[in-house]
Amino acid sequence: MTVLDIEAMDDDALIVPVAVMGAPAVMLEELPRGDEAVAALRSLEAVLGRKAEAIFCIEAGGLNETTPVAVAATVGLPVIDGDGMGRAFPEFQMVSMTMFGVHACPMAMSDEKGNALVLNTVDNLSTQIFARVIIVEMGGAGMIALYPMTGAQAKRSILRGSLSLISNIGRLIRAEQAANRTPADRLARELNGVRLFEGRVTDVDRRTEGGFARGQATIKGLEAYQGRNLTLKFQNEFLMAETEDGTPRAMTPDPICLLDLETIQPITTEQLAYGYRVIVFGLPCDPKWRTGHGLSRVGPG
Amino acid sequence: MDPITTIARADMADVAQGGAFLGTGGGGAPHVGRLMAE
Repeated sequence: MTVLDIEAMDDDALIVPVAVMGAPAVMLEELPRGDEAVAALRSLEAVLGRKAEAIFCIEAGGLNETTPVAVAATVGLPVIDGDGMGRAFPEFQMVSMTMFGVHACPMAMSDEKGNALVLNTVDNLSTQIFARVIIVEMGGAGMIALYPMTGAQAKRSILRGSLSLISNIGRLIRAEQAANRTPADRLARELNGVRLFEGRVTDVDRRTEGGFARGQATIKGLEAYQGRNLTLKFQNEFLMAETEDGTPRAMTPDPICLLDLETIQPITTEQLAYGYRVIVFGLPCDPKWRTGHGLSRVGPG
Repeated sequence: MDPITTIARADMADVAQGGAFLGTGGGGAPHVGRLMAE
């Protein structure tokens, strides 16, 4: 399957992101049938009266990085090397396209039962609010196609290179594992990140509400971090890392990422459980999120 | 890090692994999407 830089697309080409929406824990218990995302794409194309010419990832992480690749491979389209977040965020209006005035609607939604709906709302926050209600009624998760945009709009608004970045991260982790080394130092160095903490998970308080996985986890320090605790607060994604006296060590929009020290596998919020020994990283977000406009959408508070 | 121009079936493990890391703990389990792509 072809990966294209957005500059390779014509200005009037139709670029369509496809994604999974809902609580990650639901997806672990109820696997998708496999054709729901294509159904969402076809529903959106029917409303627009034209075919997509490339597929796009709404976020650079998790299921929403691999699902668009699966859709692109299925329908025979290229996928754009970029995304709308440079990481993952819990709500889909939290994308760089919103900062540049790209409307999420029309937005198509589909589920494994064959239901397909199309939304038209006044702004991207309203899209998120109404879509979240529908997702809950769909069983907690569903497939979506949204933010239809021209090549010109995409060139202005997307975050570039993220598919290459995650592919290179995966390759780096695999290479370091093969060499029997922990990839922590190389990851921190090559991603301009910081090793925030190392320890064992001693408590996880997680609940699924309103279509989100919300809660917090406590990590008890080991090795150089012995005697200290770190708390991770999350809403689908890790949003805040703070010490036991409440001092923030990292927070959204900067990504907070975990590696399992035993398996050297990344850990998601729904996997996180008592006993995991983890390394916690803080990484710099895309500079677009550090602007006043960006922080007002995805910053703390 | 170098740009990529294609993703083959054999590359999906790296995409899933990297996506799981950069996903900041979220975005769902990338291996479900990997299975669909493969």
